[in-house]
Amino acid sequence: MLNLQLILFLIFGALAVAGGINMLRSRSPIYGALSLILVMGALAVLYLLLGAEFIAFVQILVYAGAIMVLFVFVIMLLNAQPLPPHERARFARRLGLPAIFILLGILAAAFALRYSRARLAAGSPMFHVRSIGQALFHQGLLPFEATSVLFLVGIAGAVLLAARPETQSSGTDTPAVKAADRSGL
Amino acid sequence: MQMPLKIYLLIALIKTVLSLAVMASLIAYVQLAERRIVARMQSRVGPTRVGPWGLLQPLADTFKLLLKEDITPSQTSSGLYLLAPAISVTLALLSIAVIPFGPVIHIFGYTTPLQITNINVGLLFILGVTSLGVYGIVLAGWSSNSKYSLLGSLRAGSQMVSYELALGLALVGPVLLAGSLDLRKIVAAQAGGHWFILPEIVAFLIYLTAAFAETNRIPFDLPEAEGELGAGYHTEYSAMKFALFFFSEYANMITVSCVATLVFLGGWAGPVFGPVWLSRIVLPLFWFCLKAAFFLFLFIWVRGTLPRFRYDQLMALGWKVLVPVALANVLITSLVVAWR
Amino acid sequence: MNLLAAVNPNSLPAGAPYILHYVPLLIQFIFAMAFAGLAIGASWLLGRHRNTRRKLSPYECGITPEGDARHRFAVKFYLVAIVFILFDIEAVFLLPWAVVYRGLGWFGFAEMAIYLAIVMTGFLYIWKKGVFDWNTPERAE
Repeated sequence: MLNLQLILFLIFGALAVAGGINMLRSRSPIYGALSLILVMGALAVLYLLLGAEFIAFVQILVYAGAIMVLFVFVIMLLNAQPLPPHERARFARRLGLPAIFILLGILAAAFALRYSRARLAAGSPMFHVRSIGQALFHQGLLPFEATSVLFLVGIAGAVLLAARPETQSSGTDTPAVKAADRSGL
Repeated sequence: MQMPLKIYLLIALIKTVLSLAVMASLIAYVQLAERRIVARMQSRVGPTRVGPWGLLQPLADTFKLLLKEDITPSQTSSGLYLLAPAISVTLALLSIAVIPFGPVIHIFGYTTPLQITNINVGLLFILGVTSLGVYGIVLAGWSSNSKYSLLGSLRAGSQMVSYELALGLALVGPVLLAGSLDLRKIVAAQAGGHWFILPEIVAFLIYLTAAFAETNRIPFDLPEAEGELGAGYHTEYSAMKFALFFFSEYANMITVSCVATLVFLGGWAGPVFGPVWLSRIVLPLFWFCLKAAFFLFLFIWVRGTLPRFRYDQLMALGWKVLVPVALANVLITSLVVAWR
Repeated sequence: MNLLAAVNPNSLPAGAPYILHYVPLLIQFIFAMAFAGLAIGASWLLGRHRNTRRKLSPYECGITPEGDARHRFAVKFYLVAIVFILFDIEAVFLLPWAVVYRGLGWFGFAEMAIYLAIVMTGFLYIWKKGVFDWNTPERAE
C-alpha cells in the first residue's frame, strides 16, 4: 500500500511545485494568489500523507481559508493590476535558477545523511489530535501563552496600519471610495 | 469481518455515486418544497402544474436551465468566471462525504458505515471545506467585473468569514463535552438521550444563526439583496453556471443541517424496535432524516417569515454578539466539565 | 494501529494504513469536480448562442455601463479579513484544547482562561476602535 501513498505524494508534491512556479511566473496578482492557494492545498495533502491529519486541515483552515482570503481581498480592494515585465527579471533568473538547484542539493544531502533509507520507506505513523493537544498544552504551555501576546501585537498592528492611510489621505480619496464609505456598502 | 481492498474501493465508489444522486435529487426537491411552503405562507399556491402536486417541476427546471443560453459577458476574466461556480459546487459536495447518516451496518457479510468515509477529524474537515467556500463567491464577483457582482461578493466574503468564526467557536462547546472531533464519537457521546442541545443551547443558537449566514440565506442574504444589488455575486451568470450557485447553496444548507443534527440532536438516535434491518438500518436513517428535515424546514420557514438584516446590523451581530457569547459559552462549558 | 481500527468503523483489511480512509474522499472530490464540469459543459453545448454586443455588456440596471467595475473599496473589508485571521487561529487552538480538556482538568481551564483574557483584551481594543462599526464613514480617533 505504500505504493499508493508514494504515487499520491508525488502527484501532490508536483502540484505544489507547479503552483509555486506558477505563482512566481504569473504577472496577474489574482492568478498568483490562486496558485498560492493551490500550493497550500497540495501541502495539506502532503501533510495528510505524512500522517499529520490535524495539521493538514488546520493548514486548509488557516492558510487557504483565512490568510489567502485576506490576500484575495487585498487584491480586490486595491484593484491590483498585472505587473509589466520587470527590468531586472533576466538578472534574477540567471542568478536564481542555479541558487534553487544548490538549495535543493543541500536539502537532499541533509535528508540523505540524517534519515536512513529504511526509515524513509517505513512511512510515518498517524498523529492524533489528542497527542498534539497533550504536547501543546503540557510541554508547549509557554509558547502557547506567548502566541496570545503575539495576537495582541498583530491586532494593534492591523488597526494601526489600516487607520493611518484613511486619516491622512481622507481628502485625496477617489470619489468611488468616498461614496462606498458613506454607504457603508 | 475484514474486507479485501477491492471490495472496499468498490463500496466507496457505490456510496459516492449514490450520495451524489441522492444529493442532487434532494436539492431539487428541497427547492420545490421551499417554493410550495413559502407560497403557502404568502397565501399563494406555488408550482402545481408540472406533474401531480408539481412534483416534476424540478425536472422541468433542470431541463430549462440546461437549455438556456449560456452567456459569458465580454468584460469577464473568462477562466476564473468558469472556475468560480465549479469551485462552489465541488466544495459543497465534498463535505457531505464525512457525514455519518446512521450506525455501522452489516450487509452481505461485510461491515460498512452508513457514511462515505469516517475520519478522525470529521468536524475539522467540514470547517476547513466551509472556510474555502468563500472563494467560489469572491471569485465569481471579481471575475464578473460588474459593479453589482463585485459589491455582492465583497459583502459575501466579509459576511462569511465573520460568521465562520462564530460557527467554529459554537462547535467548541460540544467538542468539549464529547472530547473528540470524530463525528461518530460526538454522536456516541450523546447516547442515551443526552443530546447536546440541552447543555449547549447557547452554542446551538449561535451555530444556527451562523449557519444561516454561512449559507447566505434570509435573513442574512445580503450578498444577493435584490433590492440594491441585482442578484449580487451571480448577477452576470446564466444557464447552468447560475444554477450551480443555487445548487451549492442548497447543498451547503443540507450539510449544515446534517452537522446540526449530529452535533446537537444526537444524530440518528431515536426509538428503535423490530427486526435487525428495521432497528439497525431503517429507523436510525429515518430519525436522522427527520431531524435534518426539521432544520431544512426551519431554513424555509425563516425565509417566509423574517426580513433582511441591514449590513451594519449583520456585522455588529456577528462580531459584537455571537463571537463574545460563543467564547463565554466555551469558558462556562469548560468550567462545568472541570467541575464534574 | 489496532486502536485506530477499533475506532474507525470503515473496516479496512487488517494492517491497512489509515490513509486509506481518505481514498473515498478523493473519489468524492473527483466525482464532484466531474459533476461541475459536466453541468457547465452540457449547458454550453445544449444552449444556443446568439450574442450581441449589448447582451454581452455588464448589467447596470438598464443604463449604459460606465467605467470599470474594479476600483478601490473601503478599507473595512480588509480589516475584517485580518481580524478574522487572528481569531481563526485562536479558534484553531481551542479545538485540540477541547479534545484533550478532560485530561487537563483545572490546569487546562486556567491555561485557556489566561490565553483568552489576553486575546479578548485585543478584541475589546478593536471593538473600541470601531472596527465592527460599519456605519461610521471614518473611525473615531
